[in-house]
Amino acid sequence: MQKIDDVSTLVFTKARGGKFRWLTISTLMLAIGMLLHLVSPSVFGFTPNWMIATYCVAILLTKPSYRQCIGICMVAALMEVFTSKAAFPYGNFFSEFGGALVAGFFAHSVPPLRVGRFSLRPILTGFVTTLVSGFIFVTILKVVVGIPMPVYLYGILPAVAMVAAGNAAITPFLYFPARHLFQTMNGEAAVDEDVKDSDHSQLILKQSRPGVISIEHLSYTYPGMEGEALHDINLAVEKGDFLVVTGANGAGKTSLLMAMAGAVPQYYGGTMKGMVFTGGKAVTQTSISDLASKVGVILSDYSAQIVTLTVGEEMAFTLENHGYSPEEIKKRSKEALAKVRLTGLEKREVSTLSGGQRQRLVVAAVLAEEPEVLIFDEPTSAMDPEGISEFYEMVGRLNRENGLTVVVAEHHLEAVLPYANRFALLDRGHLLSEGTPEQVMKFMMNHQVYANAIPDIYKAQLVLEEEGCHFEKPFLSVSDAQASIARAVKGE
Amino acid sequence: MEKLVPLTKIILTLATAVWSLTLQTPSGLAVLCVFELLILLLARRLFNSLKAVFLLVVFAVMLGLIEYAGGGTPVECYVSAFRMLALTIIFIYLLGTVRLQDLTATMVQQLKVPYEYAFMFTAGLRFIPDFLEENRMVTEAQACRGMAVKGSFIKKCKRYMNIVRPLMLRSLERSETMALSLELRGFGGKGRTFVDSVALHGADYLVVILTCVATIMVFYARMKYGA
Amino acid sequence: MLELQNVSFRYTPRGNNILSHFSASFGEGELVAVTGRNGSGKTTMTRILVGLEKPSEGIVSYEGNDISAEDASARSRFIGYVFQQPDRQMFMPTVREEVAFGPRMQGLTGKELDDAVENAMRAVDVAEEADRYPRSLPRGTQQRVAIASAIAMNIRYLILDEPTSGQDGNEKKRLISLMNALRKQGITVILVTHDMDIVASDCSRVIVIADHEKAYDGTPENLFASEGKAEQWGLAVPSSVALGRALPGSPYCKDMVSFCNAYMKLHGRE
Repeated sequence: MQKIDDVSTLVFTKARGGKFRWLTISTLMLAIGMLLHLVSPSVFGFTPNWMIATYCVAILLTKPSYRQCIGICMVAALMEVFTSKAAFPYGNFFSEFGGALVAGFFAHSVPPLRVGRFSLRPILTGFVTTLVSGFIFVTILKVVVGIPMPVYLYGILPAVAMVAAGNAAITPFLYFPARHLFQTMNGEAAVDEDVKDSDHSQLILKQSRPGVISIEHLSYTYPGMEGEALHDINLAVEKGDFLVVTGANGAGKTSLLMAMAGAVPQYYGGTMKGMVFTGGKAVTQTSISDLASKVGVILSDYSAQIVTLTVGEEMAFTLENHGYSPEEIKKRSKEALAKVRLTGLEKREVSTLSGGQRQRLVVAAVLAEEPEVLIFDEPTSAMDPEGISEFYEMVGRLNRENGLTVVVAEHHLEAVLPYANRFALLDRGHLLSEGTPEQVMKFMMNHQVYANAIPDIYKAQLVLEEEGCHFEKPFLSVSDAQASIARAVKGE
Repeated sequence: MEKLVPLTKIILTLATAVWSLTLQTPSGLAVLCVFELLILLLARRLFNSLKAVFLLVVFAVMLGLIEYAGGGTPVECYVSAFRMLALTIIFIYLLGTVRLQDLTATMVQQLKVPYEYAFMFTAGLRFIPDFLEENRMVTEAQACRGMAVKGSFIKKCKRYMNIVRPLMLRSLERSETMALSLELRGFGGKGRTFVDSVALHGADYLVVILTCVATIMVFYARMKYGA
Repeated sequence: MLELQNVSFRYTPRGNNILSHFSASFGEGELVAVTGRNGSGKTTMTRILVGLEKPSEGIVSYEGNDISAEDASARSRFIGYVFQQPDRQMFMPTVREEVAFGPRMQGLTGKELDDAVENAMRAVDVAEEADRYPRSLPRGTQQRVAIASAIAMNIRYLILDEPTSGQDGNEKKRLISLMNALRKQGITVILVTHDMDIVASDCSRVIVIADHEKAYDGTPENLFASEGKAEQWGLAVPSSVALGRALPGSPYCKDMVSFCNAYMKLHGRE
C-alpha cells in the first residue's frame, strides 16, 4: 500500500464504461418495435415485422453475446405475447429464438460487405432473420394445427418472404442513422480498446481539507478528446451547502457534477488527474454504486431514470438491487415519498404522472437510499416559472429542513438566489470564481464572463453602483430591490 | 382462480398445451376448450373477454376452413380448429390475471431467468406509453414541416420513416442516461431482494397436483382410447 | 393577414371549451407574445393557428380565404411552428440536410432548394455548422437549426413555443436578436412564452389568454403599467417594471436600461 500525500500527481486512465449499454439500447429498441406494431401503417393487417427489425438493429449495434441475443429476443417474444400482438404465443418463443441466433451470427461473424460506401449487412440481416423467424413460426403452426401442405407452400411461405423483404427494406433505414449516432456518442470506441485501466486500490488516499465533497487539483479529459473538459479544479462542498454551479454551455458543469458522483472517470472513462473525495472516499477506489449511497444524482433527462411501471416499484428498485428487506424498503419508500410530497401514490402508474411529478419521483427514489448530498444537473430546462419556483421550494426545504447538501448546475440564477449560499463559476473547464452568490456575480460582471446569466435585477444594481449610487440591501429578490430603491430615493 | 401465484398459472397453461397436443379427437379437444372457458369463468374473466374469445374463435374457424379447402377431412378440420382454440384461450386467463411485477418476481426467483431479462421486459413496457406520446409529437413536428403520412402503403411507410428515425435517435440518447442511472442504482449485483412475494400457497399446490393428475389421465386416455 | 374569427375549441361536443370565442388578426412584421397560465388555452390557440387542431366553432382565415379545414402540412406553405424540444424532429446527418427537409417536402429541388437552405442557414447564423451532425450540437444551436428549417420554407408567420426556456443567457440574447431580424424581413413571429422580461423589452404586442378567453390584446406597456392588471391573470411582472414601480411616479421601464436611466435621471445624473 502506497500513501499519497500530493494528489495533484495522480493520474487515472480508463476505457469508456457502460456495461449496461447493450441492455438499455435493446430495451428501448424493443419498446420502439412494440410501439411501431401499434401505430405503423398497414394494409390488410399486413405490416413489416417491426419487432424483428428493431432487435436486429439493437444486436448489430451493440454486438451482445449469443446468450444475450437469445435473452433479448425472448424478451421480444414476451412483449409480443403480453401486449396481445401474438396470435399463437408458443410460435413466438421458438421463432424469436431462431431469430436471435441468426441476428447474433450476422453481428459477430458476417463482415460489413461493402458496396461503395454502404454496407449490405443490415439488409441481409433484416431479410434472413425475418425469413428464419417467420419460417419457424409458420412451420410450428403447420405441425401443431395441421395446415395443409399446398396452403403452406404456396400461400404462407411466400407471405413470410414478403414480410422478410419488407424488413430488408426497413432495417438499413433504421440501422445507419442509429450507427451514426452511436459512433458520435461513443467516439469511435474501438480505438482505445488497448487503454489499460488504472488501479488505485493499493493507494492510501486522504482528503486534504474537510467537506462532504472535496475536489483537489482535478483535471479531466474525455476519452478520445483533445482538450481538457476540466482543468485543475479545487473546490470543497461543506455539509449543508446549497452550491450552484454555473457557466455557459460546454463550460464543464455536467463534467464537474459527474466527477462528484464518480461517474467521471469510472463510467465515462478518459484521463483524470488529481482526485475527488466524496463522503470521505476517493472516487477511483469506490464503485459508483457505493458512492451513490452518499451522493444521489438526478440527471437532466430524469424521465429516462425511471425504469419501472409504478411509483412503488420505482421507489423499491434501488433498495431491492442492494438487497434490503421488504419491510425496510416499504418504510424508506414511505418516508422518501413524504419528503417530496408524493405520499400515498405507490400504486400510481408512472405513465399517469406529470413531468414535475416524475422529477419528484426520481428525487424520492434517490432519497430512499438516504444520501448526504443531492446533485441536480440542469433540473429546470423544460419548466415554466411556476414549476421552477415550486421545484426550488422543495429543494430548499430538503436543504434546510432535512439537512441535505445540494449541488445544482443551473442557468436560471434568479430562481436559486433565495436558497443558495454558494456559487461556482466555470468557464471552459476552469473554475474562475467561487464564493457567495454576490461575490461570484460581481466577478461575472467585472470580468464579463457569462454576464448574461446574472439576474437582471442584480445586474441593474451593479450598473447603478458603478455610477456611484448606494443601496441598503443587495438586489437579490424583487422585494429586496424595491425596498432598497424606495429607501435610497427617500434618503436623497 | 385469480389469486393463484403466476407460477401455478404458467404450469396450468403449459399443461393445457401438452393436453391439446396429446388429445386427437374433436370431442376431446372440444371438452378441453370448454374446460378452459370454465377456468376463465372461475377467474371472473369470461365476460370482460368475450371480444377476445370471439376473435380467437373466428381465427380458429378460418383455420378449419383453410384446412378443408386444402383437402382435409372434416375430422382433421375440427381437430385443427379446436386445437388452436385450446392452445390460445388459456392465454386470456394467463395475461388477464397475472400482474407484471409478480411475473418478474416469478421469472427470477422461481424460473431462474437472469434478472436482466426480466428487467428488460418491464422496463420496455414502461416506455411504450412515453413513446406513444413522443410518436404523436414527432408526427406533429414533421407535419408542421410539410410532411403528411398519406398516399399508397409504400409511400406511407417511407413517410413514416421520418417519424421513426428521430424517435429512435432520441431513445438511443436516452439509453445512455438509463445506462448510467442503472449503474448508479446498483443494478446487476448479487443478492437482489423482491418486495412482492410469489411463493406458492395451499391452493397453488392443490392446483398443481390436480394438473399433474389430469395430465396422467389425458395420457392414459390417449393410449387406451385413442382420445 | 392571418386571422382567427370567433374560434372556440373543445375536445368533445359536450365538453368544456378549452378556448372560447377567440378572435385576433396577425399582420406582417409583428413580434407578438402570447402568454397566460398553464391550462389557459394559449397553446391550443397556436395549435389551431398552425392546423394541428381544427376549431369547433369559428374560422381560421388567411388572405381572406377560409383555411379551417387545412391541416398543418398544407398550412406549412406560409406558417411554421418550432416546438420547445428541437431535437425531437431531427434525424439527418448534417445541418444542411436537416434544414432542407421542409423545402424538399414542398417540392423544391436543385438550385432553388440549395438557395433556400443557404439563405435560411445564414439568417439564423448556423452557416458555419452546415456540415455538422445536428444531434451533437448544443441545445441553443439546435433551436436555431429548427428555426432555419422552418424559414427555409418561405413562411410569413412563425410560431415559437417557449424558445428561450432552458437556454443559457448567451443563447437567449441571440434568439431575441434573431426574432427581431426576422421581424424586419416582414415575417411575423408569434412567441408563446412565460418570460415577461422579453415581452416587455422586445415585443410590440402581447395577447393574454386567461380562463380560456382572450383577456388582453395590446401593447406590453398598457398591460404592465397599471399595478394588478397583469397579476390578476397570474402573470409575473417583468423585473424592470417592478423596479420602476419603486420609483416616485412609477415610470414604466420596459427593460433594465430604461430603469437605470430613469433612476439616474432622478439623481440629476444622466
